[in-house]
Amino acid sequence: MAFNILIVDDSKVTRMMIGRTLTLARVPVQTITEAENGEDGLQKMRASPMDIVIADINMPVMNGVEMITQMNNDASLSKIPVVVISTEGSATRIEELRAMGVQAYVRKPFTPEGVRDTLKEVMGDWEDGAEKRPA
Amino acid sequence: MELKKDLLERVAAHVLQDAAFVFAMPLMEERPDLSTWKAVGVRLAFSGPFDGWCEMWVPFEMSKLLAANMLGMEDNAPDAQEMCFDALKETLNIFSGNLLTELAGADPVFNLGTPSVMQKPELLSEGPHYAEAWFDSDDMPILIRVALADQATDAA
Repeated sequence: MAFNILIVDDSKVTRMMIGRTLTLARVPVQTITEAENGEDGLQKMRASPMDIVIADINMPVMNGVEMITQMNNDASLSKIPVVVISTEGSATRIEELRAMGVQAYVRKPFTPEGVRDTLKEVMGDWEDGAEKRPA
Repeated sequence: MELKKDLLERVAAHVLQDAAFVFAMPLMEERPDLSTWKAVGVRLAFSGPFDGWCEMWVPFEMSKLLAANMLGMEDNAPDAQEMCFDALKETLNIFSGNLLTELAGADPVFNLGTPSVMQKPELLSEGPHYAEAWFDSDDMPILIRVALADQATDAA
C-alpha cells in the first residue's frame, strides 16, 4: 500500500523539504498534497481522503492547534493520524498536542531518519511488509 | 534572562548545520561595513514569558545557498533562487524556536510570529538594545541579532 499524505506548513521550502525527506526515507507515497495553513489543510482533507497529516503549528490564517481542534470535532477527519513537525521545543505545548490526539512530534531541524522512524511508529513498518492502516 | 553571545553562536551553528548543511564559524575577520554591505534580512517577533525578536542577515548568495541546500539542488537552480527568502525565513524560524528553548527551558510556551523580510535601513538603525553574533561561512558573513524586551544582554 502507499499513503496519501497531506503536508500543512506556511513555508513552501519546508513543504518541499518534507516531501523530499519522504522520498529519501522511502516512504510509500500515493499522493502528496500541500496546504499553506490550517484552513487550507481542512479544505484539502475534505476534498480528498488522507492517510496522514504532517503539520506545523505556527501558521498564519489558521494555526496547527486550531486545525487539529477542528479535525477532532469532525467525525470524517478525527481518525486521521497527525504528526506535528515544528520548531517549538516547549514540553508543555507538546503535552497539549498529545492530549489533543497528535500521534507524534518531530522538532525542527529534522533529519530524514527522524521523520522516517516517526512515520514508522505511526503508520507501521512498510519495509518489512508489516504496514498497518491507521485505525 | 541573560543572553550570552556563546549561546547565540552555539544555537546558530547547530541550526545552520542541521537545517541547511551550512557550516558557520564565528567571524574572525573584520565585520563588513553595514552601510555598504549587500545583505538581505528577515525578522521574527515572539511573545511569551518574555517578548522580543530575532533577525538574520546574509548576502543574497548565502540565501540562495540555504535554499539550495535545504532542497537538495544547485544554488543556481530556478527553484533555489525563487525560494531564497523562504529558506532564510525558515532558518530564522528554526533558530528562534531552538534559542527560546535554550533560554527559557522546556516548559514555557512562546508564540512565534511569521518571519518578515527586512529593509536595508533597518539593518542600520540603532533601535533598542540587542545582542548580535557574526559568523563566516564560505567567506560570506552572517549576522544574527536578538532583542529581548527589557532584558540584559552581554553579546552586543
